[in-house]
Amino acid sequence: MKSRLKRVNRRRPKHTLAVSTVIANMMMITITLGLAAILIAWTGSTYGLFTSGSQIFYTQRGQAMQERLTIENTFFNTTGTNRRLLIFVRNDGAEEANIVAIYINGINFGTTGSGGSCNVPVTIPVGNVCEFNVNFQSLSPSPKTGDTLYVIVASARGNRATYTVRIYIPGT
Amino acid sequence: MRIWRKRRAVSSMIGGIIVLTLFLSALSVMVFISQQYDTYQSTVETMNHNDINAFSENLMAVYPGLYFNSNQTVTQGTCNPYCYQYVLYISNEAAIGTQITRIYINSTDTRPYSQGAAGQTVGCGNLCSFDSSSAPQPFHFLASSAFVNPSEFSHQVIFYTNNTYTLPCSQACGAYGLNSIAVVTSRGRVFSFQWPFPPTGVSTVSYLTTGVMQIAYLGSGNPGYASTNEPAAVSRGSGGTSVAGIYCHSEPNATKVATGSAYGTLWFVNPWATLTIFKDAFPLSGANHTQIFVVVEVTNNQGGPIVITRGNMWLQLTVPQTQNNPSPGSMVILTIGGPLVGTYYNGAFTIAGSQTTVASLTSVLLVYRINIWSWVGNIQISQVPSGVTFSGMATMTNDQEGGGTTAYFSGTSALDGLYVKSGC
Repeated sequence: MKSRLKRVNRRRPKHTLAVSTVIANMMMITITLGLAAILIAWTGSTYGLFTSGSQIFYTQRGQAMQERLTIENTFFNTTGTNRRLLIFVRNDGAEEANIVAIYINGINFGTTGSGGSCNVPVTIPVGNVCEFNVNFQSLSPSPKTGDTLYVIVASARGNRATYTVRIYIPGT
Repeated sequence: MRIWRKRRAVSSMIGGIIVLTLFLSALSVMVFISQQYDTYQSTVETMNHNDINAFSENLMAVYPGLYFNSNQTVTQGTCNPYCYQYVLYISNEAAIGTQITRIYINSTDTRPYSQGAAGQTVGCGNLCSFDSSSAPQPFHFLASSAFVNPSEFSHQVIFYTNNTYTLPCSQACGAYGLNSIAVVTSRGRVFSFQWPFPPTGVSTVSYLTTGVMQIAYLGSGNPGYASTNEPAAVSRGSGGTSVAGIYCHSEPNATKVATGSAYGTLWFVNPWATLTIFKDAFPLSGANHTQIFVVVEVTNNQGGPIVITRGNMWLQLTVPQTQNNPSPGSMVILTIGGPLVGTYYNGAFTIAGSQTTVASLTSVLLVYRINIWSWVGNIQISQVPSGVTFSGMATMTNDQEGGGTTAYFSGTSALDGLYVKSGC
């Protein structure tokens, strides 16, 4: 009996490991590499979004910064019942400017009258000037000599050129 | 052997590589963003620098502003058969060079340079714009004259109209401000002025000139003229000297109207002399005094012309003060004899009674004569119509001395008279 019990007690320690040491190490390395890959992929995408977003932001801001609009002159071309204002807009910046809207006293005059050299929307190359012919007859109350027009020329990049001019209608 | 036994270095290396990878990727992102930010900041700096340069620009038109000569025609380029040539005089007051990119001219008057020459299209009533051109072209300016050096004085920018288009008042017409001229620079600045230049004083009016006026004072009646009242040197005068019993006051740079009239050449009187005349000379009665004239300059700011005749009520000079005791600081003068002696307009003296048509935005000199035999008071112009602006007033005298031909200055035995005497 004694000899049989000793034999049993001696065998037990040989079978306590669930997996071998090599397999355990390989599993640990695999798991670690997997998690690392996931982490790197996540951070990479995050960083990528961050970098591309910042690049777009700074590029657009830089372009907007380089855009310079100047309303260098206005002229009332009022014949008959037409109440038209010629607006001369020059791009003095280093980027071409896309004019998308012209406001007079808060009203968007998207379509300009005939006779001007440009109609909105229009892209003004660097150093060029555009002549917009705005028919402001639709303003209410009807414009008359002495009224003030507040002109805003807006670009697609969010820049504005402003100008204030007092109406002069010959003969009135 | 320990490495193979423990196997820790492998995991440490792998961990280190992972950490290093994360760190480097974050660093590269930061570097990339910093580069983007630097690029943006450099753009901001550049544009701020451009703004500073733009704000530093300072162009100023200088006399004569524009120069035009009908003989200055150009037949080059597309100027067919010819173009009229104008010269714009401009100074750069800044320490930075300026490139002119466009010139706008808007005329508020439609008179031709030749005042009605046939075939002349007049003025830029519909706004003229002049761009740069390497060769003469109608409604262009020479690109070679577009750049104004830093601190350059009286730079000449040459521009052209066509052969039928001239600006109002291109040749002296006595008017001013008929053309609004805007000069646009490449940095987006706009400098504007009006031409012909408004007068800044009587001495700049084209129909006035200067000369030496000698005023002689005769006798020593009561109260008479006391030479001790005259300072040693007066503004624009040389003080008094005594010549052969006649006390003379000399004004070497006196201003006079160049064109003669029925009243002789008219001289603007030194303010000091004027006051002295009125204070010392005139209170004595008698008809033997030099005539004193009052000159009033008014500007027609109405939309259309005004016609001046002797009967214009607003041309009357009124004298509300009827006692010989003027208040300190007021201009003391005798009442006005006639309503209007004449007008000076467009370089010509017109005797009252004839009509003088004064165009819009032009000035005219109204000449009144003082009646010496009257009361003392302040001068006023009453019933001035709206749109007529009072610009200035001065006193004048003529160059007739005793024995002259005018009825108001005929005596030679004046006791206390004041003479404008050439031989004094």
